[in-house]
Amino acid sequence: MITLLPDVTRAAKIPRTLHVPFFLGRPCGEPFDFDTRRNVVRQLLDLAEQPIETMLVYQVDQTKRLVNGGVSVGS
Amino acid sequence: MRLLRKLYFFLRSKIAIAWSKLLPASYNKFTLSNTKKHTYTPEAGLTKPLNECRVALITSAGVHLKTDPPFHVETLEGDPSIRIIPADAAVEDLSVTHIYYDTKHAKADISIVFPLEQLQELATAGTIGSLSNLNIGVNGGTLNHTPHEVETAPMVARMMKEEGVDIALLTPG
Repeated sequence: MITLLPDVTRAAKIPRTLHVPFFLGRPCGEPFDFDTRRNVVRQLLDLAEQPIETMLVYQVDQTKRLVNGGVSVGS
Repeated sequence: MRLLRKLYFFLRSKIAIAWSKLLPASYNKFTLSNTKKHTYTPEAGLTKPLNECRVALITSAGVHLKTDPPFHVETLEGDPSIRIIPADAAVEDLSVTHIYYDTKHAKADISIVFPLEQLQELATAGTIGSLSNLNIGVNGGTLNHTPHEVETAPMVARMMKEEGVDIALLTPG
């Protein structure tokens, strides 16, 4: 799930979340920014392959993974 | 009376949108205070590679086909109904009904809340096994989350299981 409010999705125990830096009403990026759109979708699909309780933080070039409060850099 | 009702929800919409933009920390705190806290995380994992998976898209942003009735938004009770969007839906076939976020951006480019087109590309490229015909739009704009939890979510989960969906991607508004 994409989250704009990670505190909320953490409380609701969403199994896997992608925290994005975008605005309410634009969770997958700005209109007509299709490169970002594809990046978001790819990172969501990458997320589906991760264990439960994984939160990925969306980044343009790489993905940082927060797992149970720790930080590790994903590939 | 009808006019008063429209005015009430118009103002409510404007206030909610302004609040989320101007006072995000407060908006976050309010949303969190109205979130049902769960105590366990559901177990669910993939049993096949991505290029064999059927993927579905679910959004609470109020997306629906233009030919479908819009969500009922002028209600404090919320609208727990769903809209089904097939895999081959074109961008121009889609619309959005919501009053608690600014929909002008989504109406210009629906993929910012519902990236179906990007999933269609990935299905064509073989990156994912297939795109489900059971892509779902709901309207999450309510503080009354019980009908969504008790009726809508279990129904959608059953439908997706019957459809053979392996991955459901969720987007907010």
